[in-house]
Amino acid sequence: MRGIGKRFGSGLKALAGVDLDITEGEFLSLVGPSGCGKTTLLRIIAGLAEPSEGERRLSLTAERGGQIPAGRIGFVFQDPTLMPWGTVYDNALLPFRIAARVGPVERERVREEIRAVGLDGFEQAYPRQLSGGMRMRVSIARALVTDPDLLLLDEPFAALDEITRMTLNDDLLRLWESRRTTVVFVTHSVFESVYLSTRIAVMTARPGRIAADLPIELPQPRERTLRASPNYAAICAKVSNALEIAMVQQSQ
Amino acid sequence: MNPRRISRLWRVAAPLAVGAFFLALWEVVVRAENIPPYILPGPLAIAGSLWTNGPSLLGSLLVTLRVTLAALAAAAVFGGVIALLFSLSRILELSLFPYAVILQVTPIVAIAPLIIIWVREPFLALLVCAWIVAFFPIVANTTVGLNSADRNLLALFQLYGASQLQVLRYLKLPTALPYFLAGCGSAAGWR
Repeated sequence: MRGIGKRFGSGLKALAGVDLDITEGEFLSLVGPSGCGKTTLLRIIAGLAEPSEGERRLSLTAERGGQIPAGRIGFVFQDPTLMPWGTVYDNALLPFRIAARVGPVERERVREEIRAVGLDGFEQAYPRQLSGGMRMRVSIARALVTDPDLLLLDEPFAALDEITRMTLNDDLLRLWESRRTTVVFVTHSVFESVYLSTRIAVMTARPGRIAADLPIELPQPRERTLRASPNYAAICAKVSNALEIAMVQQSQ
Repeated sequence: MNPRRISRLWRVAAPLAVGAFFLALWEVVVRAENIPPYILPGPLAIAGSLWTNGPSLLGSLLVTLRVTLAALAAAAVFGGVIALLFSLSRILELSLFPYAVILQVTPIVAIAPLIIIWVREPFLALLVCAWIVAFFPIVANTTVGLNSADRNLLALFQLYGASQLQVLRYLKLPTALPYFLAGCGSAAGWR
């Protein structure tokens, strides 16, 4: 992404001159104060919004003249965004249903992914019967069924309680470690981003731009014990510091 | 006896008791004051007349019932289709919705004589009158329903390259169904 800018119809400048390279296989977190355009940037990456200026190039768009082939990108929203009239299975099957490709292979893929997010036995449950954490798991399973090259998550755990959030952090890490799908993860929690990421981009607000780009060199696979280690605390402090500097610069 | 059973018994018995009390009061007042039946008949006289004129009243009831059901069915079909057209074309909605509102606020008694003159067949004339009343709540509700699909779900459908028809079938129609049924409910006069 080169010099990405976004201005809304209201004249609000959401992003200005964002340069961002996403490397294949990395777990990149976008951290910044609320209203800094993280979500807008994510929507531009997904092709759900067009930048007002600058250019976005994805290696996966090359083959189809700028069009992203359906199913190459998975998106998880802040809310689980499930269809209340569909079961867990129906919801996770949605990408295939839209592609009009519902065969035995796809059905098995959906069941496999429901198992992978730990919802074995809940295929026929409806969203209203599930807890917030379980609904989010369905949303993740739906994003993964097409084996996307790029998984985008927009503050997916922000509405969950601390315990559920930690469990889902660990489960997301396991999923990523076993597949190495490229992930772009939006959050405003420094601790969460350091625990999960291989790289963190710190953003400023109004207009949003990348203020710092920090590689996170922590051992993998990561375990819960990492959260108590001095090394983890030091990196969290470093990222928090970068975030503070970014916010001071912005207010000047 | 547990409290829930008591409350269920009360739910049936209490309104029945109130109804019986007021009917009895009505009968007593009519008899005590010697009110002539052409001013206010007592409930017993009404029940008696209902019994003797039953067959002819039943015939009329059937006619009314047929008109009601036919008009409701017509309103559900046309209302649903028009709401669907509105959701497909914003321009159509903008240009026609005000007239649907005008149709709704026009007092039906004012135009009923005209309709009876224009449409000579009485059944059809009554059907048109009932349809005008029932039509609007269904259009209005269904239009709202078709427009209230979750924005993020819409984005998701876009991400997976869904066609307009797929968005309609898998997202907008299921979202609108409860609104449509609520519209049919108010059209039928339940609410």
